Amino acid sequence: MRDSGQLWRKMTLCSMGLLAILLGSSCTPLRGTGDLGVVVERADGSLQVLENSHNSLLASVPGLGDLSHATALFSRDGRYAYICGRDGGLSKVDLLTYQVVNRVIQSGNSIGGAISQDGRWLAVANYTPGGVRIFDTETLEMKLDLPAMGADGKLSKVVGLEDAPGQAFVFSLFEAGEIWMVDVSDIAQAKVHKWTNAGAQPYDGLVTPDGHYYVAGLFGEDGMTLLDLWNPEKGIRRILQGYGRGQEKLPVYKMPHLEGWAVAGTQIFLPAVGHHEVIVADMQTWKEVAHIPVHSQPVFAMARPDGRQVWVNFAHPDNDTIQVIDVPSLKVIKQFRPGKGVMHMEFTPKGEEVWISLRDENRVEVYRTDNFSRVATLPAKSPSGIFFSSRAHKIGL
Amino acid sequence: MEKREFIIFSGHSFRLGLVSLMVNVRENCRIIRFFLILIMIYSLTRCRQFFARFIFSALLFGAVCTFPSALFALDTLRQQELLHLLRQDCGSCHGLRLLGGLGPPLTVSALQDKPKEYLEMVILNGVPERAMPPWKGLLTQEEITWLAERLLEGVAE
Repeated sequence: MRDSGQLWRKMTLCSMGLLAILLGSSCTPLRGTGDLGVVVERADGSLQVLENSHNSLLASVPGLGDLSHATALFSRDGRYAYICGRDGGLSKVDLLTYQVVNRVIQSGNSIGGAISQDGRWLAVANYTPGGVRIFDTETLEMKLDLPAMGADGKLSKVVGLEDAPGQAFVFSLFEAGEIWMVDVSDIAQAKVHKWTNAGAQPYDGLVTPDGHYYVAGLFGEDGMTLLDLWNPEKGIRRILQGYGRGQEKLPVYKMPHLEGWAVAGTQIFLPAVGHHEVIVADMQTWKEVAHIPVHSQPVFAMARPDGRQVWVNFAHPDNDTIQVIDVPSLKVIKQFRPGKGVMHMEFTPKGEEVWISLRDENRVEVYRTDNFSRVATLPAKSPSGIFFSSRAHKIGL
Repeated sequence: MEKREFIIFSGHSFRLGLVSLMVNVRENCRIIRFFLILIMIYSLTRCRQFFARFIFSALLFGAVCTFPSALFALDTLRQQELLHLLRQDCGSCHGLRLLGGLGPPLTVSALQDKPKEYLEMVILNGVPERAMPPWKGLLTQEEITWLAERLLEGVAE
């Protein structure tokens, strides 16, 4: 009896010890991912995981290949970032453990991607071979291969790939000048709808935050192409034609980017290609309501999440400057020079701060959007894109 | 293009100060630079007053450093800037590793049957109707030639 009592005591002690070890080893506090994000370090092929509650960098994730023009997408649960690299690599990164949990080389050269409405499918836009490939977001297994064979009989580079309501992806064919929509409600029998004659050289596209419209920006002509996603049977139409009236188009040293965030209220802010202007259009009529003269050729025109300001950065060689447009007055209210190589701007989910990457200065800076004061400076190697996990829950990002 | 190191003794007041210039010299600026240095050394031995010697040597030093390199050759700093531009800004379209993107790849194999003059012309004037912009407002002919040479011999990682 005495022996068994001692045995029990020993076992209790042992189990308490084990419990302590277990608790000790799992002492990393639980956390959410809603304030996490990534900075792409394009020269090194690595990512920095960041958090925007206290403005700090948490860890570096190396080994992601050629990250020029890399885009990050986020899983619906906010835990994983998917990185589409220029070398065709598609990587899935765990934002909590900072590990690359899966990586496939899916093409020779890719440009961006989008995640479907239900979070199950990830589409990647490819330059080489031109087309779209769709993957399972859990396993990165390819489910659909869609070569972008235009009416001209050639493979086109795919640009402006966005997700749209109704389990759709919409994208444009650069050389062929077409807009395609693929419905992946049933991935095994995906339906593709094509609109030809969508304008000369579409270079990027956006889906408005309400998922109502797809807009393709055109490089080959002054104008844009509009697809009403609520009434696709009505077809496409050209909008903002001849926005650069009478002006000679300037050489374009960097293609502008379109993003759903350029929408402020009922107005949409679009960078003019080859002009020192931001075009403002009304989203009911799709007519130009203003064009705002800016410092140089705009690359991004991004609205603060509340739509009260639009921040604009510029192409080489004026990529050291940022201008802020006040939306009610449509006037530039602030101009400043954070440093050389302003690549990207990302607003915190409710817009009180903005992160700015300065590629040539090897740093990322955080500014307040109300008084434009700098609140943090963080080191990063050749930073380009900054992406917050809050993108997971936005249409068309 | 070759690298040459100049060592200049700048007068007895700076006897201990060795100034070494790492400059890239092209054929056509070698002679000018050589003469400038001769004048400099000569003047340093002739000038008796410290102040005059100081001013004179400083002026000549500046001339030697900037004049030929600005006109005829690219100094190493500018070369680094150009390589940065090639990777980062040309890389916006041609890819950071020049493997292609919206623009075609610029690797040695992709350019093997393109003459240097053709590359220079494309960089200088761009390609009308396509996305390649003319760089003549931003780069000099000298810089464009240098970039075309680098592309043909391959830009090291």
